[in-house]
Amino acid sequence: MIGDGFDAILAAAQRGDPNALEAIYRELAPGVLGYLRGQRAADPEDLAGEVFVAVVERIGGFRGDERAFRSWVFTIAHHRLADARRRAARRREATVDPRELAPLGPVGDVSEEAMAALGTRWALTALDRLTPDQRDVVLLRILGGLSVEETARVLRKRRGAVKTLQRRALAALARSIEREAVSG
Amino acid sequence: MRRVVDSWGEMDPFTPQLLEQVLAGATPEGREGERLAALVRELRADLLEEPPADLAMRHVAAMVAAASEAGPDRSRRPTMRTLTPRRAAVLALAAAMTLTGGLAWAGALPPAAQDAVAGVASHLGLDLPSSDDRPEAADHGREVSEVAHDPNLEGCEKGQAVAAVASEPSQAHRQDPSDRRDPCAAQDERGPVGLGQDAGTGAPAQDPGPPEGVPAQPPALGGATHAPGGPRAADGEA
Repeated sequence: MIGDGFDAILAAAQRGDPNALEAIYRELAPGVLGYLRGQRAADPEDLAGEVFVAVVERIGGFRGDERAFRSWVFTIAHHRLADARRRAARRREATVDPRELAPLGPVGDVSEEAMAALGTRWALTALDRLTPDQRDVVLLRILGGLSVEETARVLRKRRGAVKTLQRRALAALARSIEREAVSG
Repeated sequence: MRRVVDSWGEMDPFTPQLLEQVLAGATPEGREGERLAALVRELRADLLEEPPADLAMRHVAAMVAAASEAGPDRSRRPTMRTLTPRRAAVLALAAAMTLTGGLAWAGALPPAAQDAVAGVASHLGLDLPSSDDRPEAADHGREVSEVAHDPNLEGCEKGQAVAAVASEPSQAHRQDPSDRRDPCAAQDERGPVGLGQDAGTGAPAQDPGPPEGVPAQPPALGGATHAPGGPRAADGEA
């Protein structure tokens, strides 16, 4: 958290000050990137760039404290991720002649490639066993540092629904850890 | 591959309370607390990474470019040069108020015009009277006009009818008129009544005052009164 200096940094960022914009990026980029990676976004780095540009474009209208700002940024990240997934789904639906794809080389399953790139990170494997909603809650709470209420606002769900998702996610993670321990 | 050492034995579900403690930075006592803390630690270690320097530079450059495209004052909304519905309503109301000289505020426009102006104003959050709730003064003038144009009345009777309707709002302020004589009967006896004289007595006609709901003309500053369209009364008295 930026802390006491947040108001001044926000005001400077709203004026377009490069140093203030960088300070905001440094503070929030790890969480946003982690959220997008944990959600298995196809290109988390590019998507994170889109998120921060959108933050700058709308920062003039933001009013609130640092916690609200953090929640607001993750709301933008959540929406951008949903947009990217819709775009990807439309592309998959488009009919393409396989012969046109041949010069591009072999194409595998995106999620398998992502898993391979991430290696043997057991925590990520455990995350993959959660439902998308459960994963949203866990990532926003653990990586985003958001409260149950803030998570509910980001996901546009009721507080009780988020608590239920969280409880089930924790139970699933516990089972997953148990399996890892047994198989290890 | 990193493994969670199975030194905890049978695992119990993580509770929300445990999660809150772990997220607050504490490591709760007990097997479950330690396991959950380990999970959170591993997730953060795997996913919370500082972006590489080149990626961070690229992202920040894009942010600065976006900020400079939007202008120096990012808290200010862009100037609306297009004719939005609200802007059109403001212009329409301004034109209506200019043309009607404020009659709309008093609700004294003809019903159709009053409703039109009130409708535009309501879009802007202003509350102007509609034709249904026009003040009595506006309706009173219409009633006087109707009587004056009534073809069934003639002569003294018509004049009396117009006068009666016109002075109706001020009747409450008058002295008991029941002892007055019938002016038309008196006219029959004595001929026409002079303008500005009370029928029957020949005294100057009593000023009925403004109709109810219409304020009397206030005195001007300094005690001087202004005759509409004429010289100042005070000018001649000074």
